[in-house]
Amino acid sequence: MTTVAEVMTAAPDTVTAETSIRDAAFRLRGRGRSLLPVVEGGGSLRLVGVITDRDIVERCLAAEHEGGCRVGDHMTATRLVVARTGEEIGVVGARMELARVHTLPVLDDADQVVGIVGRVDLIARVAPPLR
Amino acid sequence: MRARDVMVSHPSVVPADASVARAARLMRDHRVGVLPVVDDLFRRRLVGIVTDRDLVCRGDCGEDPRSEPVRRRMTAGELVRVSGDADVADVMRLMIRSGIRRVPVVAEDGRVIGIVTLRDAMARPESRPQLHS
Repeated sequence: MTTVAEVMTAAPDTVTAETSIRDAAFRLRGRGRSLLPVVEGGGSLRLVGVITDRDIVERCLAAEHEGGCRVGDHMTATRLVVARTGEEIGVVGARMELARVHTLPVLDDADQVVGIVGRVDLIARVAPPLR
Repeated sequence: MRARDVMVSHPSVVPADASVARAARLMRDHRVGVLPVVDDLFRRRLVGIVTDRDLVCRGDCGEDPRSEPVRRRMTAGELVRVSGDADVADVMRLMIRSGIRRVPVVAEDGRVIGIVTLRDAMARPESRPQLHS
């Protein structure tokens, strides 16, 4: 059995609801990731939402918002789909398919954000590399 | 099986001088993550390609998306493209080798006529290349 903890990216970059959209976009750049966990902040890594590059396209750029938007204006904060460090990766893969998302924040037993995991991380573990 | 047999025909396209905001609206309203960028909407000649991720992460994020032209955030150099006659297995190998999931299909005059996605191509078993050969 392979657990999420074995394949996740640990200590991911996070933002708070107060972070500017511009700063969030900057952090998404170059990391090969399309999702940032949004945490409570002030030392707490409790998850309060997630924001993706797609959210920024649909809710900010397409809506022609003035500059000055914050992550809290455009994040998803309800019905969050997450993974737990001890979960088996097959279970998490099925959850991604069901929710039609490809990246999930990973929480530990204390509900703190400790990683993110993408479908590619799961696939890399179960499929041989393409030649 | 050829690229034209599995492509999405008449894909949404965006002119190079359209704003980043307009490209974002097209992606939202048509529920797509990629747009071929064309010289203009009549000739529809391919000049680049732009993804949702490019709109967010490329450029200095400092310009006004309502006025910044999409050409500033598109990929233009060494653009991967195929003809409608291309063999689907070859197209899939090309996508895998290039690390891309979507490739524009162009006519001889450069006009955009479709998009082949890795997902659509994979859904046709007869088109799958022998990945391990």
